[in-house]
Amino acid sequence: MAQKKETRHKPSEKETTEETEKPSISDKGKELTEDMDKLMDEIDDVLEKNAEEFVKNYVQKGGQ
Amino acid sequence: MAPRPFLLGSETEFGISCLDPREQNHITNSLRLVGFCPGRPAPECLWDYEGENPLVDLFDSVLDGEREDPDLYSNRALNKPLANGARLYVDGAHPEYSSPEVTDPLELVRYEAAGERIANSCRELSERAMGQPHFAVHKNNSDGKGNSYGYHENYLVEKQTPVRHLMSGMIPHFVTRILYCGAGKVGAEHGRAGCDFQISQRADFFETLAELNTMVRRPLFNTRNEPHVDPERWLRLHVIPGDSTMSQVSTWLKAGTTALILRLIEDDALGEMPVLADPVTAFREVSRDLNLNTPLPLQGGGAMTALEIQHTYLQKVREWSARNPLPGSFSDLIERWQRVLAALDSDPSSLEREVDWIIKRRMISAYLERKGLDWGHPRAKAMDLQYHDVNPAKGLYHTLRARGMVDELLDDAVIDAAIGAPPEDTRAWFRGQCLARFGKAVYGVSWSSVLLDTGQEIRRLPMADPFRGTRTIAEPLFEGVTSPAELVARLEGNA
Repeated sequence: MAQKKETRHKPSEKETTEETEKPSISDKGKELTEDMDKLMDEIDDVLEKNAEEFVKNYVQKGGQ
Repeated sequence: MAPRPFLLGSETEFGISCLDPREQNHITNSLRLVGFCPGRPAPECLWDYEGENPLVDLFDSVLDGEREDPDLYSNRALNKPLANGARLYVDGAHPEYSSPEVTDPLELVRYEAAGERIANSCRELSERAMGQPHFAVHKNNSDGKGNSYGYHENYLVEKQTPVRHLMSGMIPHFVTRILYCGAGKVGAEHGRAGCDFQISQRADFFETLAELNTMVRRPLFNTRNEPHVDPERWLRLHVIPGDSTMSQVSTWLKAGTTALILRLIEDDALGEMPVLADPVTAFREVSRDLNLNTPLPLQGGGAMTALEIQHTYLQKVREWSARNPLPGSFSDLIERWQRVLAALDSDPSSLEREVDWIIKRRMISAYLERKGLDWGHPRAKAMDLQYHDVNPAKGLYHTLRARGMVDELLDDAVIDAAIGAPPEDTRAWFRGQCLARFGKAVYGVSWSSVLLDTGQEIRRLPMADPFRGTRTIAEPLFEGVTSPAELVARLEGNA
C-alpha cells in the first residue's frame, strides 16, 4: 500500500521559495500569524450561519 | 517463522441531524441516510443474523435478552453490506459503519476513512435528491447534552489468553492512551466536574470497570465475547472507551498500540503493569489533565502520571519487538509512538498537526483569542461539533486538512480505492468478491458467512477462519466460475 510521505508543510511554491531564501525566524513567525488569520477568516466562512443555534439543537439518542 | 498475523476492525456510530425541524426522528433519519448508499453491487443482500449473539461474555455466561431477528424488509432497510467488505447499517438511532477485518492499523485508518467518505456520499446524495442540504453527519461521540454513542474497536485474541490478564493489561492503557488518541471536547457532561476543555469525548460517560452491557453503566472493559470466528480458537475483544478520531495519526496509534499490547498479553510477555487504584475516576482525571502531570494513585501505594504509564507500555513493547519481527506498519508505529510520547514530555503543542485533541484545542483557542471570547462562549462548542462534520466543505478538521495544517498518513487516492475494494489479506476479500461477482445472487452475508443463491437453494458458506478467504487462498476458486452454483460445486470438490 502506498504510504504518504509526510512533510511538515504541504509542498507549495511558498515552501520552495522558503528553502532558497532561508527566511529569518521573525519572517516565519509573521507567516504563521498570517496563516492563522486566514484560517480564522475561513472558519468564520465555514461555520454554520446559525452555528450557535445548531449546536443548541444538536441532540442525539444515546448509543453504545 | 513469519510473524503471527493481527486482525482488527472498528465500528463508527455517526451523529445524525436533519436540517428540517419537522423530521427529528433519529431512527427514521438514520434509515433514510443509509438508504442513499451508492455503488452497492447487491442492494437486496441481507445481513445473516444466524451466528450473531452479543449476549455472551468472556466468561461464557449468557445474558438474558432478545437476539436480533428482523423480518426481511427491516433487514434490508437496516443493513447495507458493502463491496469493500464493510457493513453500513442502523444501530439503534445511529448510522454505523463497521470496517472490514484488516491485519494492520494503517489499513484500519484507510478503511475507516473510506467509511467516512461513504457516509458523506450518502449525505451528498440525499442533498441531491432533496434539492437542498438535508442531513448533517458527524464522526463524534457526544451531543454535549449527556448523550453518548460509540466508537468500538475489535481485536482478535487467542482463546487461551486469561481474561484477567486482558483486564489488568488493558485497563491502564484504555485510561492513558487518550493522551494521543483523544478527540478533545469543550466542556463536561453527564454531571461530571466542569472544565473548559478535556482530552476525551467519552471519558465522562464511563461508570464501571467491567460489564457486558455497552449502553447503561458503560464499562471501561467490555466483557462481550461475540467472536464471529471459531470460538474454540479465538475471542474478540470489543473495546468501547475510545474516541472517534479525525486525525489519521491518532487513529493509527490508537489501534496499533492496543493491538501490540494485546499481543504481548497473549504471549504472556507484558509482565506486571501498574494497577490503578480507581481506573474509572482516573479516566476522567487524565481527560482533564491538560498539563499532563496529574499523579494517578496506584493500588498498594504510590502514583504514576498517564504519560509515565504510557512510557512503561512502550518500554515493554520495545523489548518484546526486539525479539519478535513485526509485519506491516507496526515497526514504524512503535517509532512514532516513542516520538509522540517524547513530544508530550517536552512540548505537547508540537503535536498540533498530529494529535486530535491538540489540533482541535489549538484551533479553538486561537479563534477565541482573536475574537476575545472565552471557552464558555457557544461558538467554542459549535467549533468542537463542526470539527467532526464528515462533509469536507463543512468539517473544520477538513478545513485544516485542506490548508495543509495537519499531517496525514495516506493519500486521497489510496483511501478512495478502499471504498469499493476489500482488504486482500482477510476473509473480507471473499465477502467483497462474492458481492462484486455474483451481485443479487448473494442472498446474505455476515462476518462469518456468505449465503449464495444457487438457483436451487440458498447455501451458507461458513467463514469461521478470518485468515482464509484471502485473495491468495480464494482467488483460484473463482477461476472460470461464472455462477454461485459453480462456486459451490468447486468448494465441494465436484468440479
